[in-house]
Amino acid sequence: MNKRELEIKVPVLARVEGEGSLELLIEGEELREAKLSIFEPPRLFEKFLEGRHYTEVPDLVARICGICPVAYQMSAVHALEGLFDTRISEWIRAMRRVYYCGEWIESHALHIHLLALPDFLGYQSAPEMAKDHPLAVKRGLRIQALGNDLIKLFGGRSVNPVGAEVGGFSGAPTKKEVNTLYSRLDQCIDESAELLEWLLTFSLPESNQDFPGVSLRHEYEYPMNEGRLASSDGLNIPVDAFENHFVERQVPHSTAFQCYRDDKAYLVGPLARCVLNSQHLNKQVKTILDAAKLKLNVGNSYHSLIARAMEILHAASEAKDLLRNYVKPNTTREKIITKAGVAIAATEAPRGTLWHRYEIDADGLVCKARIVPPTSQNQARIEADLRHALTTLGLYRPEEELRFQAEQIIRNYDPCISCATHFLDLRVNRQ
Amino acid sequence: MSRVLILGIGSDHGDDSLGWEALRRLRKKIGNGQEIEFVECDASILNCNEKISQSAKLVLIDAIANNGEAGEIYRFDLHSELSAHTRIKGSMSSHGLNVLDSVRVLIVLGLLPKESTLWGIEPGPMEPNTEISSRVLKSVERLVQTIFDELVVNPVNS
Repeated sequence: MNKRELEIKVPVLARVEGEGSLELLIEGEELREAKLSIFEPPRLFEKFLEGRHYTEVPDLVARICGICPVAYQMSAVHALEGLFDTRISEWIRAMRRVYYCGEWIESHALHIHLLALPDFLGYQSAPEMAKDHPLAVKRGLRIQALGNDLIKLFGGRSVNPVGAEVGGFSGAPTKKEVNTLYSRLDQCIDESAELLEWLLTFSLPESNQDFPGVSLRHEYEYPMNEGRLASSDGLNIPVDAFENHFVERQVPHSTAFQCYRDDKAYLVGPLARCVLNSQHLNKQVKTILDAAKLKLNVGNSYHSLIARAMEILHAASEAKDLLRNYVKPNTTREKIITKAGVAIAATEAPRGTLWHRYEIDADGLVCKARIVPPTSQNQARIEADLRHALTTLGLYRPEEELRFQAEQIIRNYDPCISCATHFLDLRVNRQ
Repeated sequence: MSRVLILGIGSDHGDDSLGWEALRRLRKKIGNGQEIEFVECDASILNCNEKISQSAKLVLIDAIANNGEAGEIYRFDLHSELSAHTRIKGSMSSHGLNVLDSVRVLIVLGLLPKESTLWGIEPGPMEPNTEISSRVLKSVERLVQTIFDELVVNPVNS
């Protein structure tokens, strides 16, 4: 039997988003192994958090990811406020959604324009694509910049923002600052709609794999900070029951855990959110999608490109609605009364459900922390998708073609910025 | 709009934090009022694309893995080096292709300031949540002085 071994590696990275590698073992026409290894930095932070005061947690966890710090902050503050029985004001609740909208917009715009689109349009890199599509890339950067500015409005800065606190925000923007940004939202909404319409003209590959999507689901709004955990195959549980259904496993080929739901791989992220919460999407998003006659399918990971654009438009529109009658409040945070216990929450990071659990003592110190990020939840799903996609493509294909297909699949999940932006370094050993 | 934008790129992984450390020292040394803005960032420098495009001069500071001795200092003019595809090839930065690909996108879109310089230091150990090594720290001090001289003491072309 002909046996060839393909070892595909992402170069070693020194970034918190970590390193990844892919190993394929092909024997004859059979793909024997597809092992994706992703280094997961949150494991380091969990230990790092022990002994820290709860007030330090939002700023510390924001450092876990340079692209989605808001998500880490939001899961942390909601977990801790849940334990402390803190009732936040409507203003805090609304502005946290605006803050989160900013992160969805910047993260999705970055992924679409610089990571995913070069693949769909057949370019080897983002700079090459930018030469032929400068207006589209500039539009993407404008959308991304607005997302960053929304984060900065409440976080003080878009990189490692610091404004979020347990109980609220450390401060509030002035009416003038909000108005300046508000006046740019119309253009962002128009450009986001153009982006979605443009992407819907693409011919997306067909795929219909059988696996569930998982996300938060909320009674009356598109989920960000609150809701129950739901799946496309009928799961509907409170977030504190997560550990009863979801299990992280260590696998020999990876330093990261892989998370399974009742022994099954599953998908988290914008596609799962859109499918599970379509009734709460902005009307303009639905109208554009209906006009294109595309039915989103959680079994086709290529649809995540569309889902990201849908969420950009949704988030820009929601931010505008929430800021329309902005008034700077007298107080931006609630009083906190600490108590010992277990704090649990999940929110929807750009890449999917981000679950946090903290054990807090009577002094408000963290005794134990557990963070389950979207990337570890999608990791088993990515491996399964790779098996399916490469087998469908044909394992006899040239190594370069297999490599490109593998890269595209991995990037499509937006697993983390460092993995998703690096070309895989293909090494081939033939026997 | 600042005349000069200095971006310190880094992470908290040992010597990979040298961009942040250099930025902190430069901020302290230069102070306010020089039309110089200091921004700490990670590899996603396109998050700062508006600031970059509105600046007259850009200074990037990052760890650069170039198979050299730890502590070795590098200086690249981004327009000439990246356009010529000469000295900077592939993923020399410890952040892989992120920073250079981002710079290339900015060049293609005409958003990179005419005067754009990448300063770097060859890193040593880059383990998560560790301190910067003493060897690289010495180079950081030299680098800070060099950039200070170029920007403040003896500014050229600005």
